[in-house]
Amino acid sequence: MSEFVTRYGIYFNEVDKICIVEPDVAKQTCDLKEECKIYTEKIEEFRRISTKFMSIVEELGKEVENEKIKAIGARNILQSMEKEKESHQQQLQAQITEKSMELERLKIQLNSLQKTEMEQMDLINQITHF
Amino acid sequence: MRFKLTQAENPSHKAPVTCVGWSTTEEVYSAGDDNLLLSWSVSDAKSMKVLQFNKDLYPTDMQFLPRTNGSLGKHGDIILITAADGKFHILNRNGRIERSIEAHKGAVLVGQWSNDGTGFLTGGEDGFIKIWSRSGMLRSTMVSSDNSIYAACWSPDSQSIAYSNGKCIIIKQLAPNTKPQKWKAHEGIILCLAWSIVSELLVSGGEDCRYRVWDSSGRQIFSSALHDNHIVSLSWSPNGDLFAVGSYNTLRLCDYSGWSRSLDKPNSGCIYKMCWSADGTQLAAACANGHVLFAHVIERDVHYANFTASLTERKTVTVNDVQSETSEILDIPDRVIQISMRYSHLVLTTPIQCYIYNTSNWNTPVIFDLKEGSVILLKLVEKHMMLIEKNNVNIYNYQGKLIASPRWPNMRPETLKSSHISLSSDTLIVRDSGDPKLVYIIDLNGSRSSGVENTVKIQHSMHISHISLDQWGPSNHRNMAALDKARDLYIVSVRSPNKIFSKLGRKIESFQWNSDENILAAIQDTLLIVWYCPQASFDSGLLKLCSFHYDSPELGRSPRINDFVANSVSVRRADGSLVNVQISPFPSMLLKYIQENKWTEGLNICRTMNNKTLWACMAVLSTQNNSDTMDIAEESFANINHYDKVYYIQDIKRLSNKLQQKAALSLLAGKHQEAESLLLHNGMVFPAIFNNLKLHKWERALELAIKHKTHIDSVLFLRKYYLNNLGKSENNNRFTSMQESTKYDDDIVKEKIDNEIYKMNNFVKEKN
Repeated sequence: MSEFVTRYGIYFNEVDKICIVEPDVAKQTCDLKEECKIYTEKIEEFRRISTKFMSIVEELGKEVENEKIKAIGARNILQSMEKEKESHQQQLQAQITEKSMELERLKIQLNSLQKTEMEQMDLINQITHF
Repeated sequence: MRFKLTQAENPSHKAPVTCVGWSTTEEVYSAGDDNLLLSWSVSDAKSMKVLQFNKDLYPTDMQFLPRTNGSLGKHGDIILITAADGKFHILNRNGRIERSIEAHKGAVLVGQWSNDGTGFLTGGEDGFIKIWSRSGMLRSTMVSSDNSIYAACWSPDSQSIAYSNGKCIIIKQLAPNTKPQKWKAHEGIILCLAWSIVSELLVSGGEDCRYRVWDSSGRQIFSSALHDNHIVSLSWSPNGDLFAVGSYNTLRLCDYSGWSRSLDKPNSGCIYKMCWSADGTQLAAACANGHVLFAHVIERDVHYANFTASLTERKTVTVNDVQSETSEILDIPDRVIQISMRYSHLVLTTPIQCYIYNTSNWNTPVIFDLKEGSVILLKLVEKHMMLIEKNNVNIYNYQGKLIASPRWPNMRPETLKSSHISLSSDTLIVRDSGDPKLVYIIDLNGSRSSGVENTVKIQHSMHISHISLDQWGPSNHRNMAALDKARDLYIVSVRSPNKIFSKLGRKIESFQWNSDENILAAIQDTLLIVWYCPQASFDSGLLKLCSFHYDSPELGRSPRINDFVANSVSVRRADGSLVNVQISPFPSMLLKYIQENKWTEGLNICRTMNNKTLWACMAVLSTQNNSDTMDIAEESFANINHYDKVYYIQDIKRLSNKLQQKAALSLLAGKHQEAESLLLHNGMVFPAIFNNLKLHKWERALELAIKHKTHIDSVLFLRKYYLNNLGKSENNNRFTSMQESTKYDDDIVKEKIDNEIYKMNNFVKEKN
């Protein structure tokens, strides 16, 4: 009987239910289905993990970028500080030159006044010794 | 002297400010590349928007119409703004654009009103300079060159313009067919030029990072040290005693002779344009960082004797007394504009009032209100002072009482310069504003109103650049020293009937009368000369004897006299330092004694010091004097080894005719005309003619002879005799015609002359 049925492509499985697929195939199909389900679950898991990973990396990237910009800024500030210092130094230098010129002028004036004082002392001496 | 800087906390312009201008002494207009025209109140540095220009109008230069005659006339405040699109715009104060005219291809870089305000020039990138009328009509195209015109300015008289052409400065007259004057001024392109109306000096700055000062003939007065950046802007103060130099982060205040008074390093970026307020106490600067910088000149000092007054803040004056080592702080309620100290008085002016302090009392000044405000010049003499405002000239005494308001023809007080007017206790002299050869002498003792009728004028043959009166002695001996364009110094007795210009010296750079005596100090090239008796100018030998020559390397190149108080001449060197030169105190003592008619004391000084200079002074003073001082003169001349004059005096003494004696003394004192008129008034025609003949004044002798109808033949005979001796023929037409028309016999005339000479000298001969 069974062979007869089998000839028409009808099979009985182990629990004696009628099926149109060979029980082996059916079993394999079933297994495949199971495995697929596991696979999709795993894939899902992987996707989740990779998304998380990517966001973490992205964040890290941003942070790195930030830090980089910060570093560049700091470097620029440092450089500009240097420049500022230089220009400040130049300004001070210019002012020092200016002051020293003024000092020179005052020195000349002082000298001439001292000379005047001396001359006057001489004159006083000269007159008092008459 | 330095700047005190103020600026708003945040820049009001969002782009570089390119130009500034003063509308009043309290209000500044500024325009920048953000197309904004702002008005600033200077006291609190707050700005207000006046006008938002079109989006494509980028202003390059701005100038307010200069105020002539003190008023604005019917035109009101007109602002000239030039722009980068080749147009210029004429605005009124409220910011309404009255006129926009296409002037140049490319940007207009300069726009300058002429000093008289009748027109303006524009210079552009296309190399053209065009002159426009006040209403914006094209008058002429002055210049077309290959280079862009970065800088151009008017000469003080508005008759010529100076402009930059690459590294050269060119001065071109407005009058056609005159050759322009051109010289290479800088190593780099010239970016800015400024010409002072008052001091007539030109200052230029350029890409070679230097600024240079020139006189109007192109002679270099000063060249600055190398700066860190290009010199971008320059501006003369209206008084002509200072100018400001602007560069990147740099604002410099300089003396007119070029040396730097102070340096500021504000964080302003480049200073594109600067402008002084009309009273010369404040400066506004347009900065590249969007700020407008305000600078006040503080620490302006005045010195006299032992006092120094300094404007420490805008409204504070500190007075230091060196002798007692005390200092006083004077608080003035308003901004101080002019400050001057002389003869124990300190005078300050604010925009509305005048303060007079006596040096013995700093607590209670005399205060009076000014007629118009804005004093242009302040002159102090011993008893009174003169305030020159825009429209009037007033003389006040130190109690603040108005004592005179002198007037003279062609009077334009607003254009007066300090060197063109001089005051003494009884006389005022002033140079004509139009004719530089003409000087007016105004007698202040005459009528109180001092109308035009007591104004006398004298004419010189050259342009006069500086006049000054002596301050002491009787008013009829008042002398004026005048320096002309050829740098010759003359002395003129302003009260004598014949005002002869008598030359004192050549190549004089500057001069000054002493504060206490009629002694004159002058700089001749690098030499300091002090003339103790400038009235001896008729005799160069004598003049040299009674003077003091100081030649020392310490004065350096081109020094100037700064002041001459008591016995010290203060000389300003070219680098700005002051050098004190002490002169002998004895000549001034001698002068003082003679002024008080104390001849014996004067003689005592001379005899004690036994100094040639003193004796020479004594000789001059005793011969110039009208009183009987012949013996003193004789002794003095003997002491300076002028034996000829001793013999002459002895000869004069033998004359019994007092008048003749007096005339002979006048001749010795160099007063030929006085001697002549003395003789003529007393009917002694022949001696008068004979004196002229002896002085080789042939024409005058002939004139006198014809006028008095005597001795014509004698004059003609002596002239012929003289020419025959020289072997020359007559070249004077008057003499030729007289010789032809007059018939005389040589022998008779000779006898006649001998006779007259005998008569003239007969008193002498009788005595012998």
